[in-house]
Amino acid sequence: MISSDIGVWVAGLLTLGILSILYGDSALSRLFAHIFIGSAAGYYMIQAINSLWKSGIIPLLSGNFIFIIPLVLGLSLFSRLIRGYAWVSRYGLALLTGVGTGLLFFTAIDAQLIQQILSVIAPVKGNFYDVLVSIIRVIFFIFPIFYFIFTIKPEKTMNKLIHAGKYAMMIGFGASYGALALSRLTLIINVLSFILKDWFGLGLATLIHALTYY
Amino acid sequence: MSEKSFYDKISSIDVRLIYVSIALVLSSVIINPIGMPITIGEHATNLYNFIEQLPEDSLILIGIDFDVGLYSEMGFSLEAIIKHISSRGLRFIALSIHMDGPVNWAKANSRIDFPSNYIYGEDYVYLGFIAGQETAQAAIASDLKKVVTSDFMGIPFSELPIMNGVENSQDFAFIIEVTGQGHNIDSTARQYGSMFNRPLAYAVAGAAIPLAMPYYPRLALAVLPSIIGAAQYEYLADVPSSALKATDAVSLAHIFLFGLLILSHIGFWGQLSKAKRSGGKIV
Repeated sequence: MISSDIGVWVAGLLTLGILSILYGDSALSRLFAHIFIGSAAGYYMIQAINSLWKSGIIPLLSGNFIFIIPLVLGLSLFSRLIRGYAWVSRYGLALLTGVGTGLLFFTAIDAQLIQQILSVIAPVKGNFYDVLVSIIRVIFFIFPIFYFIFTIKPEKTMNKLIHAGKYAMMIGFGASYGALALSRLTLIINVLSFILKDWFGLGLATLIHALTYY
Repeated sequence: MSEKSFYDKISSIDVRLIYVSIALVLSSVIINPIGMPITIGEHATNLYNFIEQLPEDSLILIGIDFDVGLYSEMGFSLEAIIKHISSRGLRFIALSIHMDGPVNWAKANSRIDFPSNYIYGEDYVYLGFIAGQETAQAAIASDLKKVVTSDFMGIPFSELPIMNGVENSQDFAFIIEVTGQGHNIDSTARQYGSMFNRPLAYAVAGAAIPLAMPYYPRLALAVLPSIIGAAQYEYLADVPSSALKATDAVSLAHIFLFGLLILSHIGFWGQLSKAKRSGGKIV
């Protein structure tokens, strides 16, 4: 049964409008793209203002005057837009960079280096398939490293290892692309599902009824 | 003007024709599901088994950090996990460091039928969007109540029984990050996994699978991949919903894509061999 909900109709028409971009650029498709970008920008602006109000302004008005410091430093970032005063933003940026570096200092080495290496060289156990996967994982871990060694002049054996590393990386990028394809296909499936089921109410029973009735 | 060969025609199919073909193929199976079999992966099994063995008074932290446009990839995983958690009577606190989090929560909340004895404020709560990305995660992990003092509706923690005794990440039995962004995956692993040694799991978008897999199994006990992971988890937790319904379309879409790949290779290699024979180049 076709939906009688006005929200579903608006969403459906906007969806078709955005999808018309695939057919070709036109004033109508640009209109729908602008509606999308405008509504997203509006939402993000409200979220940002709300967050600033809750976490900065309200504590300040409650008597926590120390919150003036991060608020001023945050505002200083906008000084980059004022000619001649861009240097003021360096203080805010310095704080951001310092905090970010401090957070990463210990945890990045552990999480993104040590733990990941340990994941690759984990003891091989299980059935034949598990052992094969573990060996392939180690090989695909080691070969690309040779590709990035620039301090040794490549000769016969090294060249073969470099080529092996290149192919290992290409296989890895191919697998990543496959995962990306899954991602994009999932999006279009959801869109079509919304249009066919939620908007037009098309299921098998509805279709058979429509075909036999008409 | 020379006539186009068979291989030239294959290589220059109008892309709009491909769009229409994909739409027709997917539409046919969305309207009339075939019922293709699905296999249950180890990640969904690991996550399911881990949640099954958690004690009844466990508290779980769920990070809802994905774009609203990617709800079809991760939203269904989020729903399936929350349905499983609530059916077991486990408690959860959800929050977002991504601005779209509140929209995704609102959508998931409207689609989940919580058990009648599962009460907001006592068994689950949503704390809303917290600005700061990794800085916010670090602050939450070390002292939650210094960062947030009320839920997303402004209800103070004093009126939310679930927040009693919750101080930092050590109070959480388990942390699930639902995200499509690489920097969220990394920051969660760093701040919760590495810094505080908390058990982690991810539900990620397809494009983010390669970014999350390196953390498995040392830091993350499971990485649910996109809608496939959601479908597997719905099957395991016995909460069939939109992800399971979409598996036919996902499978058929990939088969169709594979057919297009073969066609494009036939066109390319045919053009190449023809060019080599005539001593020319592929234009």
